[in-house]
Amino acid sequence: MSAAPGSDEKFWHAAARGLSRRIHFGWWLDHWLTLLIPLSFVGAITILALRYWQNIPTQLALLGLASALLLSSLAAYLWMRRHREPLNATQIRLEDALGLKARLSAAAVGIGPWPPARSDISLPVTYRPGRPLIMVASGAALLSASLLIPISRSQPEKPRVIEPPSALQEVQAWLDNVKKNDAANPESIVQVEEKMAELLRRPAQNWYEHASLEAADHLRDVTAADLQQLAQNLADAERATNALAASAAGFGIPQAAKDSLQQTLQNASQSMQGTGMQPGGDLMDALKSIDTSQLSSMSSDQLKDLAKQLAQNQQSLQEALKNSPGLDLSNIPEGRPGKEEGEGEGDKQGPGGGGPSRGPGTAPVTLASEDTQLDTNKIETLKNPLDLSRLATGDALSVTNGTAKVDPKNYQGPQQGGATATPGDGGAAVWQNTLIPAERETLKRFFK
Amino acid sequence: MHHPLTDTEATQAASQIDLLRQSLRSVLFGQDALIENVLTGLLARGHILLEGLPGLGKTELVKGLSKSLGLDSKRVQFTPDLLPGDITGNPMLQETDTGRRFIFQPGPLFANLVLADEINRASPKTQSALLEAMQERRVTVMGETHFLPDPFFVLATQNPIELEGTYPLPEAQLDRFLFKLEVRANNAATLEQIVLNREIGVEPQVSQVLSQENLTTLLDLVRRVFMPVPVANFIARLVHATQPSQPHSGGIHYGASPRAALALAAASKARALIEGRLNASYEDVRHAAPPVLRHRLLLDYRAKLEGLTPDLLITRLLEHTPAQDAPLPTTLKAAKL
Repeated sequence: MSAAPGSDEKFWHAAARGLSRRIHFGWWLDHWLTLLIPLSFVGAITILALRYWQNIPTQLALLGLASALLLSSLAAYLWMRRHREPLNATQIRLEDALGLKARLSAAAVGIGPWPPARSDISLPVTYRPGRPLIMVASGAALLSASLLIPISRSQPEKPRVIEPPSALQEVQAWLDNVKKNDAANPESIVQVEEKMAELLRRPAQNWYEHASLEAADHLRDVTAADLQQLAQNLADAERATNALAASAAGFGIPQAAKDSLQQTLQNASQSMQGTGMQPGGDLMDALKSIDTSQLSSMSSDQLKDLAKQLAQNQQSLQEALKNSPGLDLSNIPEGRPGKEEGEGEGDKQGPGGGGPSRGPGTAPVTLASEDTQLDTNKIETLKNPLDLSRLATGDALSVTNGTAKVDPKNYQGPQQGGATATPGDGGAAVWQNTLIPAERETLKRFFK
Repeated sequence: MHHPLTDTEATQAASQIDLLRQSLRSVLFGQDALIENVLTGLLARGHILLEGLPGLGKTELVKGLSKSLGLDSKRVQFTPDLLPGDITGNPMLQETDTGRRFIFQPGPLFANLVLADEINRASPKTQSALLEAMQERRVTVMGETHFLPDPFFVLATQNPIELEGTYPLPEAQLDRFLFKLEVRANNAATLEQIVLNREIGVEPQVSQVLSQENLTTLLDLVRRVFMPVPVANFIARLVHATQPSQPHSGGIHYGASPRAALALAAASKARALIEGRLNASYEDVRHAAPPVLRHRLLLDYRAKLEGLTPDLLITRLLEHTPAQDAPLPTTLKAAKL
């Protein structure tokens, strides 16, 4: 049965095209695999970076991966075009592999007929699966590893916040509470706040210098003293006003006591109107409106109203500062705070009275044979802060003087370094000390 | 430009050549490959150098060939004292009607088929005279040129043993031979056949199967065998690959010449005609490559020390020279079907 004219030619052209396609696909695969490992490496790094810096939505990751694969495929295709084989070149492979004795090349130029078509033709190139499998697996492993390995997310760097010194924070808390309870004159509060602001106006990194800390501590001490002074004045004025009201109501009080009370009220009022912390609300206006020389002419009700205002202000002040550690106003003693007699002697500054960056410096305590002369005649004792209920290991309970007990019998005189302290008794020591009694007896019998 | 061969011509030629082949097989037992190569060389108009031990039938082959083709054949035993004139012929002083004069007496070269036995035993001067005649197909004596008969074939032999006192052929002269064929020893079955069918002193009877005109026609047909461009490209790349500068030519000191490429092409065409094909093929080139190239490759000392032979190097070159020189991707491998 003869084939249709031209059918053999078509068959071999189709076979050549099939071979050509396979070769082109091989080149494409070759180039794509070449791109795959660097691409996977870059992809893995990118995924790790994205996972570190931010959350990656799965869809976005898949889209990126697909885009990268598509782009690499396109690049491999463009690269493959450089190796594109024309059909006659592929025919050479085909006729050589099939043993066609160059008949395709000859027939293509009109020499002889085309070889008859074959039913079972297989292409003369086969795939090498090893390299593609290894490289695809490597790429997938790289990407999977970058997706699966645990990695900690980056923490945004928090801005460095420098807290103001604790003394200033303490003062601010006092002022806030005082302001909230309207326990002091706002103007006097603003003055303290301006001083605080002036301290805080310095660069934050300088807030904890010794001088700044000392200034803050000083401000706190002054403010505390002012608040205590205000509380004391309010208490004194309130007591005096109450007594004067009782006197005005008819209770018999000697004139001298009445004068003293009037003086106390007058002193307290003047003190509250002076510098430092002033009372809040309408009390300040009330105090200003009182003519202290006419106190005796004030009625009992007027005095009671004044006493009530003073008590309220005092109550507000104590309420505002009740939770302030180190500033307890609940128990204001009679008299003037800060004016008590100290335990020390004299009033001049002595050694050790300076600050850390100024002043006369440390006390002249030396290891010299002479006594340290601090110009004091009073013996001061140290208070033992030891709380026996909270003893810990290593705490010293007491220190006593005594003499070390030395056993003169054990002392063998000075020895050379490295010398043996107990030289032992030679062989006797061995058998006497290391053998069990039965062995010892056996040896004794032997040597007898 | 020759007209392309037709199918009919190719078929007829193949049948004639087959007759010749059968005739030679009746003379020389067990040497089918040798007969095939000799026929190829003959049809390619080439001279052949036969290398083999004495007594393997080289002379019988030449005699059988001359008888089968009805050609005039001569045999020359080369010896160290053989002079060029002994093979080319000498002017002899003779009495003529016009007086005494030198008349050229043709030597044994003046035959269609010349068997030059043990050519390496002759002096270089005599070798040179023979090889010049092979190339030029003419002889010049005393200023007078004498053309050799057409067709003219030389089958030279050389003995690979007893090389003392011999004059190995220079490479430039070896290049004149189209083929160098190795005549291998017969196996036991062949020897048995020889013992049963031959007798010492009795010439085998060979009848002429082709005329000289038939041979001339066949030689012309060989020239008309089509050489496809890819096959020519394959020949060119194969010969070029023998150059020492090429990547797979390790061990080769000097490569093959362009004459080798022409010889390969001619041998490939001849082989295609023997098989009745219209065109030469890669297979023809691969088949003809060893006899064409083995005496044209000069090995270096390293190759000699390693025991490499030209045939091994040619096999290696053929393995590394594909029909299609464009490389395959690494994900694919070529497969022979």
